[in-house]
Amino acid sequence: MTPLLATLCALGALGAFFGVALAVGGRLFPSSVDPRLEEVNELLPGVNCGACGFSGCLACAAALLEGDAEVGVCPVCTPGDRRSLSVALGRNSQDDVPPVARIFCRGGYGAVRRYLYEGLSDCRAANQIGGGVTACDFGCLRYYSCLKACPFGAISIDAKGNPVVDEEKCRSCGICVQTCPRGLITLVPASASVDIRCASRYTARDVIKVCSVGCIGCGKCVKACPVGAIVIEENLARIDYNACISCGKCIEACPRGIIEKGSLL
Amino acid sequence: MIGQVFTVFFGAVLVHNFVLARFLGVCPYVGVSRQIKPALGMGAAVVFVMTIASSVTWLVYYHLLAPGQGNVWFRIAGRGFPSPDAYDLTFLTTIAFILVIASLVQFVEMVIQKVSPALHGALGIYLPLITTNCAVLGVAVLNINTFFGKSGPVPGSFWKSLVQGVGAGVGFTLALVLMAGIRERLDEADLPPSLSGAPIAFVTAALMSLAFMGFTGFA
Repeated sequence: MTPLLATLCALGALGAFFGVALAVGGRLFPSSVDPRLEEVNELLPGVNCGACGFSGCLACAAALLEGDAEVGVCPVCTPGDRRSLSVALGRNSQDDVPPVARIFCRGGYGAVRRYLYEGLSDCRAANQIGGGVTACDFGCLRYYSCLKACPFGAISIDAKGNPVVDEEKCRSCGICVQTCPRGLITLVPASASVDIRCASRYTARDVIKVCSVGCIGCGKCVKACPVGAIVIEENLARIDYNACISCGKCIEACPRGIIEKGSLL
Repeated sequence: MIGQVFTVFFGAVLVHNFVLARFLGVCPYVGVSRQIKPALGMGAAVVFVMTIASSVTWLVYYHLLAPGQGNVWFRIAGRGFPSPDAYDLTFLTTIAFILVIASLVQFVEMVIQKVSPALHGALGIYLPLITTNCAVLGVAVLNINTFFGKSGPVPGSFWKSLVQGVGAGVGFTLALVLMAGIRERLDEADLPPSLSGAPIAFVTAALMSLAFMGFTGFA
């Protein structure tokens, strides 16, 4: 055994021994740190200001997971942060998590119009003449008054022409809810995980004439739901958020694709 | 023998205090000494690590690195191996010790976390800080320098190394707690603003070091 070989063996043996010992130790003494700790810590602002009363964001995350703190304990969190936290922690408490506004129409540019409207570029005006400019009496008029009314710039227009609420920015003020003349916007709990994005009470035949995606009341979602959270009322499916278990089976079952996952999940 | 061991201990704690006389581990000394409770926690962790590190590194040095009767390469090689002194791997001391200490601390942290979550809460966060602290490596290397002669280990080498490790840790804790006590008082004292924080801490450290010089010559 030459000195070189002895050197290699010495260091190699030490390294191998400790490597194996640490690996074995890792199995014998598994870390009892909650794996969600890192995930929750990421959702907190990370400023470590201590305003929550805990010694930094990691300590706050640990307390949240233990149940020693409410989601509202961090004053620096934006409402969007708080919503993400309540979803991550699996808490439905409405006291500390502000609800979020959601718009229940996906007609977009494809929604048929009754007449050519040349007037004020405002939904409330376009709704006044002949039952409204869209052929669907219940659908989005697409003059985006909600977008103009939102003081926080939380509403934007997606590629298909639908107004969409950015749930991180929404402050639950309710102004858009009052602005929409067709009542398409509702404040729902942030943990609401599945939405049926249609308000049309037309029968299937009439819906198909005026919109490519509206709910036809076929009832496939009702059958797919394992907990019976969906019911059909006046040709429109309606979901009970408290009963929903977020399994997503209704989303797959819907032939129109009108059921969507909540944006935070 | 017991007298010698006591001398080694006394020497490590007071006469050759690792922080105040040897100037090792000064970083946690200034960094973790603002309050007494964390200082005690840090000190406890350091005693723990130094003790285990001293013993394991001694064994590694004696059996794997140093030429002599304990050298395993001599036993393995058998024939074709001119003499026990032929394989002097002591040049690997630094790297082998670092490897050993780092792995040891990791392992200890794992065990503590599982066996005693309370103990882990108290000193667990300091363990990563101590992993490559120069004081820990220092005590390991110092053990070798002091307790290994030209012809192998001195009598009682292992126990003396162990006691020096414990003593180094205790001395470190002593220095840390004294400093923490002084700094807690300084927090309420009427200091010129430019001196508060690190400047006054360094001045205090220097004065403490001078005070401990009073022990020289005892061991």
